Amino acid sequence: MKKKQNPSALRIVGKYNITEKVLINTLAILLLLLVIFPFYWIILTSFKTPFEIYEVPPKFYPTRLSLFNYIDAFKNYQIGLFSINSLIVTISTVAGTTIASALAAYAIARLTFFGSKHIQALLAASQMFPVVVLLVPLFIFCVRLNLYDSHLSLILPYIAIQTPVSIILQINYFKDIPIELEDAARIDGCSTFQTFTKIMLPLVVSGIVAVSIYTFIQIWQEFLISSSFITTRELFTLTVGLTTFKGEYATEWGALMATSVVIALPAMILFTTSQDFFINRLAGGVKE
Amino acid sequence: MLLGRPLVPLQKLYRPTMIKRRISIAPYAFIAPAFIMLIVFIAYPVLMNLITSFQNYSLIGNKRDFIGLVNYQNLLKDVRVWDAIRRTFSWTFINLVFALSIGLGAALLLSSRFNWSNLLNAFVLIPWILPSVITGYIFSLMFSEDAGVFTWILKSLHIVEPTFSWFRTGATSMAAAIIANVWRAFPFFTLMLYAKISSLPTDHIEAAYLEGATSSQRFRYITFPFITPVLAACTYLCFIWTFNAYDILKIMTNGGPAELTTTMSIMVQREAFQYFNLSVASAMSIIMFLLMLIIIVCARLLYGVIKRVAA
Repeated sequence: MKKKQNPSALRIVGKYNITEKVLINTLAILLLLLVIFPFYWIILTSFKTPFEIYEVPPKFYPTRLSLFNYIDAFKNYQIGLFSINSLIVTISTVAGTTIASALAAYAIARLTFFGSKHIQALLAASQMFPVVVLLVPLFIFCVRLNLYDSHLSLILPYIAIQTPVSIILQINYFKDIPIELEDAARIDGCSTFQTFTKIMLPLVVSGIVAVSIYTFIQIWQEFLISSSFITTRELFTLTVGLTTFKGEYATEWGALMATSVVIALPAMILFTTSQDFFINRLAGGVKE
Repeated sequence: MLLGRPLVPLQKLYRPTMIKRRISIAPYAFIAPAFIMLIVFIAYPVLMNLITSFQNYSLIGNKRDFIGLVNYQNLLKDVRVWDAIRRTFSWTFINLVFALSIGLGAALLLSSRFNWSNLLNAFVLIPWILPSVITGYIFSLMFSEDAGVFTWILKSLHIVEPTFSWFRTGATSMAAAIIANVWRAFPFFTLMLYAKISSLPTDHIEAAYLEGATSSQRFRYITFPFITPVLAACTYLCFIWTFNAYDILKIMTNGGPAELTTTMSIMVQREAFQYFNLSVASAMSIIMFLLMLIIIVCARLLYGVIKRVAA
């Protein structure tokens, strides 16, 4: 992917003078503190004992790197089980969304069919429906299909909610492939489906992976539907599991923050692997 | 001839138009899985929601009759609903103003390319990747009365009295939730605006510089008009996200104290999953959706008018 190396929009031909330098660096340090501090505080708290958490004045650095909060979270709060549930739900959703939207994105990018011109606008419009509008009818629907309080009641709506964005993001990857390749395949006798699997898919695979990482991050942190549709503790996903640390009178902050680190890590790691996609494609997609 | 170029350029031979595309069912097969999912789990539920809102369906009684507009009439007579609508608007508006201005400020700062701007660029997205539920909890902790580091700082600087608690009054609870939400929302706008600013042709800036334009003039007459479309897209997205926001408010205040931070989405969820008044919740969500739609349409029209006037 191309990296834009334009010179600054603000800096002009010359260099900054000393006052400007000081000002810019001060603001930048403030911004860095602003974005990092709460995240740092999560990690810090996950290593603190309950006594240290309520200590006045609070300590701004860790005194020891003991994992007791993590052990507590896994032993007494079933975080292992919640992680497995989250993985099941998220991976099924990502698989379903990716397959359904790759097929649709290819058709929209390359094939002509009834309504193929307007479908993109329709997909964009479907993004406007807030999840809250879907909450009650999906609930009734799931109860009727006997899906309520099961992972399927999360996976199926998730796929439907994520598919439009996923299609919109994937269409551009398919459009980037030269049409000659596809025509050559067709002349050699490939059917539409073979052209798709043998020619197009291998070429757009990196794009599709990036889009599925986006889907993963979105679903991994979903809370509204999962907290409304799951009532059995054994089926909780991680984000719903977080609410179990908050009791009537006290909150287990240490274990809660340890779990937060466990939830945040996969999202962070996946994000760093595909940072380029987020910075160029995602921003570029909205830019037009 | 063997090594030379072909007589007819390849591109001409294989132009897409030369291949007969039969009318086939293949395209429909390709879009079928996605569209079946969308129809069953988005379109049908939206329609059902509308129908349910005209009924008296609740999980407690076993009735399900059409009662016309009664739900809507009751809701619009209810003071709490109007309060929630008002609160949703102020929540959205304040968030929008702060998230967009901090987002734009940070984007301009990053685009000034100081020594370590690339490093900062990598960190600035942290709040956006961090799951919103976690954002809710960490800000709850930092703002909490006894263990909160922010509260402690404010108290030791004697800005607030020693008994101060963020979550005791509606205004301070709302402020705490807004700070958390702005923190989470602004990096995405920074990212989008920064990407656009980076693509600004340097010649324009240089020309303006040579003509003697000050930096505020350069921003006003070159950078700002260039990024306006992205800014509009950001405003649109930010509006939809904040208007429907649920996670952070639910975690931090749960609508309290005394319902003073209950926005519409919190109200819909509570009505449906705590009181099981499904029809009432449906009607409420329809009202919410219509309000959002009206605002978006008005904003679109206004934006069109402003653009025409400016041009």
